[in-house]
Amino acid sequence: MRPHRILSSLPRAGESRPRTRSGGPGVRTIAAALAILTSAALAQETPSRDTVVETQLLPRTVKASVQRLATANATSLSATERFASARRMIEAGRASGDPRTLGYAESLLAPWPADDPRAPLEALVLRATIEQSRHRFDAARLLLDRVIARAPDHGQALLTRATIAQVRGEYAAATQDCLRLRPLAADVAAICGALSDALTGHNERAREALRSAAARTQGAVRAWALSALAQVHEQRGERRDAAAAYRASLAADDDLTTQLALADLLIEQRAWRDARALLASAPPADGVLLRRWLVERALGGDAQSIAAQLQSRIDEAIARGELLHARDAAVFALERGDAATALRLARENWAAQREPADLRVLARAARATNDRAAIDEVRAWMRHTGLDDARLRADLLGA
Amino acid sequence: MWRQLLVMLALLGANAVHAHSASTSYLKIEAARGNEVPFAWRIALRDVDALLDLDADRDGKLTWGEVDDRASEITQLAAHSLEARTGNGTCPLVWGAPRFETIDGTGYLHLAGRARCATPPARVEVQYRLFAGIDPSHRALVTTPDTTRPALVAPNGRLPVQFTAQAWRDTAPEHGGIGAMFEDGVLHILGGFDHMLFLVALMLPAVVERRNGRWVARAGVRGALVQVAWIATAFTLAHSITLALASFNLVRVPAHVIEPLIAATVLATALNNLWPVVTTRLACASFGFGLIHGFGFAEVLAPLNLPALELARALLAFNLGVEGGQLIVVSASFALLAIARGWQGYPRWILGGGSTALALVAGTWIVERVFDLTLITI
Repeated sequence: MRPHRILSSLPRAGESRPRTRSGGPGVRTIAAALAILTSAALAQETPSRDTVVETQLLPRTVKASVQRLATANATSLSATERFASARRMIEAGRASGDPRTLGYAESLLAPWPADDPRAPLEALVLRATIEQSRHRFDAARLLLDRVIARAPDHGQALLTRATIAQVRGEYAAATQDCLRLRPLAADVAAICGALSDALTGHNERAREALRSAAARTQGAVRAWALSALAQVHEQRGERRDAAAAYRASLAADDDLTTQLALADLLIEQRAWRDARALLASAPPADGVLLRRWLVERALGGDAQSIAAQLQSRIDEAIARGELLHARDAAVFALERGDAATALRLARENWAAQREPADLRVLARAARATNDRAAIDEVRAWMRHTGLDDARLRADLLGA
Repeated sequence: MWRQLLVMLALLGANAVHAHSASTSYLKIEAARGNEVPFAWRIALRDVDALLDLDADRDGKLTWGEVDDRASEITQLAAHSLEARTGNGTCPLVWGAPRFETIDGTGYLHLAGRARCATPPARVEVQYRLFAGIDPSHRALVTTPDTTRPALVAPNGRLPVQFTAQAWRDTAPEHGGIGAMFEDGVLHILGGFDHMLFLVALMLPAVVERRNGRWVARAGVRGALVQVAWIATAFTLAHSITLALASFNLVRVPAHVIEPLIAATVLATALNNLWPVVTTRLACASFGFGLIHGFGFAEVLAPLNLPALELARALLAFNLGVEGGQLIVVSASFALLAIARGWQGYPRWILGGGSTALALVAGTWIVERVFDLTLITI
């Protein structure tokens, strides 16, 4: 029998999910006359040989590293090879949003445990980057502090520490690290400083610094300056300039974070089809699924299956005890009309990271639940830091 | 170069919030039955591909063929990655062939296995090794009969599992299975067009007989009924034999050989109706072809990977179900054919036309199954 039937007595038949339907037995046309006899057989099939069962595979270079790790050869890797490979894994994770690669990178660094006082600086910085990507900011910072104590001019460590401070809303610390970067890499230091400026109300100064940095640089640095510039434009309510800067940034260096930021802007402008086109080739990371869901819901597409997929990802993350993307989960809850859950998640997220997008979710959830305390908290943060953001003012309007 | 690197690391920190589904496998451990502990394990195809590089044609996609070709390596990987032991030593785990499942848009392999302990275990300790030394963030979500909350197990982690009498009672009806196996047998016949069409092909000439090179209606229904009873009994006897042989792994015939052969039996029977070669002893032909069909039935039981005693019981129930299904097909078509046999157009339109249609379908099946194509669909 080609259609191997999946039996009702299989150990987990009750839990089995829909299978990919393949070409099937191929005789249904002829068998129509016998349909009455067959109506009882709701056959589930195992796929035929040419049925595609998975399209989201890891990149070949990543798989090659995994296989090297899996074999005894792993011990023969030199330190340089391990660092280079770990860096590639982290990079692959950034491109695809797949957290697996961070685990592979961690294994590549296994010869130098995090608490090894003589670990090479490179190993510590890479470990810090992995921790930071998993949103374990304190662990990341401890590692970076050790690196900077041993090598005060370690540019990479300084920049990473500055970035963490910005994400955590500690702008004085961030600015200090940005200043220390200046003699090492002037353009990078300028962008780093402008980011702090933008988050503390100095939008105009930030915009000028980022514009000139973008003009002086190229590649990934230019892309970074342009996406930062786009954010400043958004804070100033200059949506058209923001979209142009995001697109210019993507042209200089394609990056998933920037893609999502542009998608958010397009969604806010109800430019659904543009958003759909932008995300068409993006990897199915949670952040991408969330935006696709919003777009398909608006366009009358297949929003339901995307929502189910997102929910199951969130459930799995909770079961694993690691809801990394609480911000996305909060937006998802908010858009589904579950404002109470949204507020809980937004608060949880705000405790961990404090970028304008995090504050916006908190503001929107606070408004939806009419939670005065949360609204006051948002206002207090804006007053305290000086953050000047047109979107937040709109979010709070009527609160 | 230096700057590129700086920015790469900086951006990672700024916004690394787009988690993908993390690497998680789902392991279900069921209550021990006798000496054996049933396991069901779902591993993401993405993860299996990372370890074994299944993408033979390097097109960035996996087809089921690419997965199936590496089935033995996959079960080997499973065997290396999970160990069950009691105080008396290890309980060797035997895994069945991988099957496919999707969970919310992601492809998973579903492996059914059994740990065979020396004595009925009251407690086993499971040692989990998948992705050990490769991905410390990989986790198994393990459900066991002793708790309601799934346990999270990391690579190189261990999990003790207690089996209580209560747990056994709770899970036993789930695979008591005799009733379900009977039902599966019935459905297998009713849903399996090739078996059903084979029976129909055999039945078409049963209500007529060959006289002087022509088909004429049998005078009494009784004679036809006896003929049909012999044919069906011979078919049953034959497929029961091969089904048992295959289920107990005494004889194995690969599916890609059996599938076209089953289609060939339908073709041969239909052609024999059109240009009769075998006109007497149809029961013998039915027996011979039944042997082939039995191997086809065995594909249903093999993936269950049941222990011997349970397999024997399942086999009996499944076989009875097959007979039940057969009885439905045979009696329904016999009733229709018995009424139609008096019609003078019967030999030409029903026997001839029907057999031609059957021969065409069977011929197409053979091509499909040999070349792994899909020619006819709904």
